[in-house]
This record gives sequence, C-alpha cells and structure tokens, in this order.
Amino acid sequence: MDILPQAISDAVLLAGLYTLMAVGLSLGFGVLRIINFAQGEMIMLGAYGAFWLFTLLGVDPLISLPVLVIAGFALGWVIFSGFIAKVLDAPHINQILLTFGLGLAIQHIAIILWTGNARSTQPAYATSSSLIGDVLVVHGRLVAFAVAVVMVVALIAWLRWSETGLATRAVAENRGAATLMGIDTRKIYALSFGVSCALSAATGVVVSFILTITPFVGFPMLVKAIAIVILGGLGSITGTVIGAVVLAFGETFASYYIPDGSGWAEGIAFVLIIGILILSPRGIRGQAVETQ
Amino acid sequence: MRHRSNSILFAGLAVLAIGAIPASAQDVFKIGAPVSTSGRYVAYGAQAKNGIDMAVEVWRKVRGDKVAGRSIEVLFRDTQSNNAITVSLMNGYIQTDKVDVIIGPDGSNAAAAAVPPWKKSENRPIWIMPGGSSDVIEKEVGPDPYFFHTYAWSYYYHESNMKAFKALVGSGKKVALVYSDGAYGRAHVDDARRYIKEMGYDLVADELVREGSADFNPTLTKIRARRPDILYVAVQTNDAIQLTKQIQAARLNIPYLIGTAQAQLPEWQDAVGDSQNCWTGVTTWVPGLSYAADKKEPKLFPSAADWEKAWREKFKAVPEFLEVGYYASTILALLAVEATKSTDREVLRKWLEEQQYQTPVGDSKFEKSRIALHQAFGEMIVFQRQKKAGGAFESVLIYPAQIATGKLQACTQ
Repeated sequence: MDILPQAISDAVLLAGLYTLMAVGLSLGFGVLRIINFAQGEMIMLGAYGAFWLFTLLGVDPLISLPVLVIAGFALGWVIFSGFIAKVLDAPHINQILLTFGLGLAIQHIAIILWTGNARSTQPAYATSSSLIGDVLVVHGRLVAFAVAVVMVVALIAWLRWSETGLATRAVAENRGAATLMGIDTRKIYALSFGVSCALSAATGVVVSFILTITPFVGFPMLVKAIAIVILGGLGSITGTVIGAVVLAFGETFASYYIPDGSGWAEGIAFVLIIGILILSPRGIRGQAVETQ
Repeated sequence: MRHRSNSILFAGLAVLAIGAIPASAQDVFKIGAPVSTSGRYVAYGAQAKNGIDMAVEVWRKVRGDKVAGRSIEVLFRDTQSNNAITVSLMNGYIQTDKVDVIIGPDGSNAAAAAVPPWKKSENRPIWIMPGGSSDVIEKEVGPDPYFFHTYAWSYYYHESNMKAFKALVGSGKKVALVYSDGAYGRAHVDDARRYIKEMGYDLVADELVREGSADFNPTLTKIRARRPDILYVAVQTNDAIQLTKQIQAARLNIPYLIGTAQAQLPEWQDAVGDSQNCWTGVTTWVPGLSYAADKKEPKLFPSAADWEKAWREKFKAVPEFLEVGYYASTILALLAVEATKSTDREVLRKWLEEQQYQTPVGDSKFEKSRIALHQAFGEMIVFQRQKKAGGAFESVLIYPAQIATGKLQACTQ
C-alpha cells in the first residue's frame, strides 16, 4: 500500500488544527505587538467550555462553538480592559510577565475548579471515519479542519471588507497614522484581543474532541503556535497558514518515513523551522516590527 | 559538700530533662503522608488521603484513639504534584518532624523524587509506598531494609498481561507494541518486549510515539499494515485517551487490545466513552473481588466485599485501587506499632517482615522482588472492559482463572 496519499491527508488535516491554534496569536501580535502567553489557556478554557456543555447538557461541541466563540471574545475584551491595556506602552518584559502570569493564574484556577483529570468529549464523529480509496479520513479531524477553514476565512473577510476590520489593519500597519485618521485605537486593540481569544476558544472546542483536555493542555499548543507564527512571519495571517502547513507536513512526513519518526517528529519539524529562519530571519511572510 | 549536692541536683535535673524529651515524643506515633492534593496528580492525591483517613478512622473505631499508648498524628502535606516540593517535604518529615513512618507519595513521578532525600538520610524512617510502580524507583532504592513497596512494579503489569493472554488465547500470535517517549513509556517498554517474547509471541511492530503528540495516525497506519492479532499500548493516561479514540476511528480490526494502567482509571473510562469496549487492563484491585476477611483482624481487614460496602457508605463512591492500597498500608503500620509497642525502625522492620494478613487488597506478606527486599500487594488481576445489556461498561475479571467473572472477548470493529 502506498502511504503517500494517507500522509498527505493526515498532514493537511493537522495543518488545519495548527492554523486555528496559531491564527489568534498572530492577529493579537500583528495589532497589539504583544505576544499573548496566556493564549494557550484561552484554548484550554474553550476546551473545558465544550466539555462541560457536552457532559452536563449534552450539547454537541459544534453547537456550542458559536456560544463559546462569543464567550471567548467577551473574556478577551475583559482581559484587555483589565490587564493588557495597562501595559500597552510598558517594556516588552513587563508585557511578557503579565500575560505569562495570567496564563499561570488561569491554569491554576482550572486545576482548583476541575482537578488535573484528563477529559474528552465523545461526539459520534470523533471516533468515526471513512475510507476514500486507501485513505482513511477520521471525521473528527475533518470537522476540525472545516472549523479552521471557516474561522480563518471569516477572519480574513472581516479584516478585508468590514469597517472595523479595515481599521484593525490600519492600526496594525501604523498606529500613529490610524489615530490621526480618527480611529479609536484603544477600541481596536480591545476588539483584536477579543477576536484573538475567540479564535482560541474555537480551537479549544476542536481540541475537546480530537485531543485530551487537561488544565495543562494549553502550554504545548502555545509553544507550537509561537513557532508557527515566527515561521510564517509575525503578524501575517497568510504566513501563519503557511507556517502551520510546514510544521504539519514536517511532523507527519517524519512520522511516516523515518524509523521511530513519531517520536522524533516534533524535533525534526522544529529543525526545519530553524533552517527556514536562518535563510529568512523575518519568517516566510514576515513584516518589519518596530521595537522600542 | 554543698558544691557536691548542687552537682547531684543538676545531674538529677539533667537526667529528668533528657528523659522528658523522649517521653513526650513517644506519646505520638507520627505518620508522614506526602499527598498530591493540588496540581497535575490531584486525583491520585485525593485517593491516597482518603485511604489513610479511612484507615485511621477504622482504627479509632476498633481500637480507640491510641496505638500502643501513643496518639496518632498523620502529617498530610501537599506535594503540589511538584518534584522539588516533594524533595523538600521528605527532608522536612525526616529532619524536622522526625516521623516514624512515611506512607506515600502517590504516583511514580513524586515517588521517584522522594527517593534521594530519604535514601541519603542515615536515620531514615520506615517508608511504605503504595503508589509508585516505576521500576526506576526500585533501582534507585535498591535492596534497602526500611523500604516496603505495597503496589505492583511496572514489570508485573507485563508479566501478568502476557501470562493471561498465553492462558486465554495461546501463544504464537502477532503483537504490535506502542510506547511513548516519556518516563512512563520508557519505564515499561523493555519489560513489555521481554514478556511478549518470553510468552512466545511475535513482535511485528515496535512503535515509539511522542508524548503529547497531536496525531497518532501515522503510527496506526504502520501498525495496520502488519496485521497484528494483539495491540499492546504502554503510554500514560493523557496519551492513552487520545490514542484509544484514534484506534477506534482507525478501524484497525485487531482482535485484542491491551493497556497497562489506564484501563483501570475512571478518568480514562469516562474520557473515551464507547471506545473503551474490549480493552483489557491490569490492576491490583477492582470492585467485586472475593477476598475473605482476615481471621486474626476481621474488623481491620474485613472481606473485600465488606470493605467495599463500608467505603461506599462513607464516600458515596466506588473505591479505587490506590485507596485500598493506602488503607491496607496504613493499617499495617498501625498494627506494627501496636504489636511491638515501639516506633524503632529496626523493630518495626522486623515485625513487618514477619507479619501476614489477608487484606481487602490481598495477602500482606512481603516477598523479595527483582531488587527490593519487601514487596506486597503486587498480585495483578487482568480484566476486560465489556459493555453490558444496559449500555454501561464494567470490568470483567478474566485472569487468573480462580477469580474470573467472565470470558475474554475478541474485539469486533
């Protein structure tokens, strides 16, 4: 049996998950110039939200998705207003410490509330699959891919064609000029941070049925998301998609074609990323980033 | 003359003072109980604490508030599921609190972290460990006379699993092994391979997976191509949950699925739902065991059924394997002090080596394991998760034959 079609299928589906995981971080950085180290915990909260709605009320994760996206947006707005807004002009190290501390606090609250037990939702599509020729497609992964496509297309559409989206891009490109044009930058920041957290909540919903939920699930995802965003180029949505594709294909092909490759896959993928960054230090589609 | 009387007076006071210190210390029997009541292993810590609490409560009900004239003090301290804190707790128990016995900590990671501070101490107390299975701990502790392991070592899992399958389906089958690259998988893989081969099976796939991997499908695709009869999985619980669901989705058509520790955990059972069907696992204890009460101490060690009933009444929950292990270990420590009227480690060691009770988790007699001098409660039961008529799952005991409650079923996917 030729495993190439299966490897490509697995890699494409994984790339969808990775894109969804990283795109919120990319948006947040592109506009606010802050890497949100609590982004992984937003994913974790989304996953727990889906889990509890599924377990207590029997709500399918896909039905709970819009509710949790709105909740994620609201939480993001609150976090921005209560914390992030206070360090917008502070040194980067303060911003890093704040978001990192927020992430740790959220993680520990989750442990206190829900214990460290591993959990998962079990909608029927999570464990069903179809054979297309010799290629096995797991429905849960296909659903995750579809969610990623819908969310990323919606994000791009919002940024391109809506008034607030255009304002967001203006702020991302030149904060000073945007202010002079009468754009309320503080509001745009809050909006972007909210959208970024909403995307993470959506990722969490997907994670709830294809991975394992614990209060610690966010951090490894944050690490991968940062790698993807740096690879793709800080602040570029298209670059993030490309970065996710590179990481997913790197991991999957290493797993298939190298002996014991599943154990080495992440390492090999990260070596690939380092190689690309040596050749192109700004990432694949990076933009210049002002530093203080 | 006056000078001499003063000297005698001071000497007398000194003797009284010296005598007074050990007298007050002797009034208390101190148990150091490092438990993970917060952090990643909080579920294990809660079980450990419940087991000790229940043991002390039963002791007080049956024998009164004291043991050999001493009050009982259990120093529960939270490891926070953190190895550095566990080290600090162990130092505190030994150097500052001067506990007589340590029971715990729960889980292999914390238990492994607790070894160096205990081992380096000259005056280390008796250490009873009902919660660590990694044989790395056994190697680090070595043949220490004061160490008493009251749970199965990791290699017992594989020996029991493969003995069961040899007895139930015969040898000569093809086995695919999946293990993770973390501490859990590495601790298990060598013995899993060893017993698979020793019992006459053909290891057709031997696949390493990354702990916390986002996708196990590449590994499963490779395994499908080898068409094994048995899939043997040695990964920790988080990965086992995702892997179990992916195995069901992958439609591998493998007749037998063998797990290690995860299949006995409600955490895994709840998280995987219907995907748990047909998985076999090993444990030292499951609800419904038919162990009789101890003849000498029937109130402290009732039959497994009566103990389970009492537990359900108190906690309104099904007891877990760690809970019964901690219960039996704590009662043994209390019996040791009462029988010897001493907290001296040499005296306690000797008594523990010689005792034998029938507890709700099995025979308490300590035997030698590969390296450790004292090993009890390591006898393992092999069970299979089977879906019953009402749709609920239960653990059907399939091995050893004398306690079996049902038959091994081949998986249909």
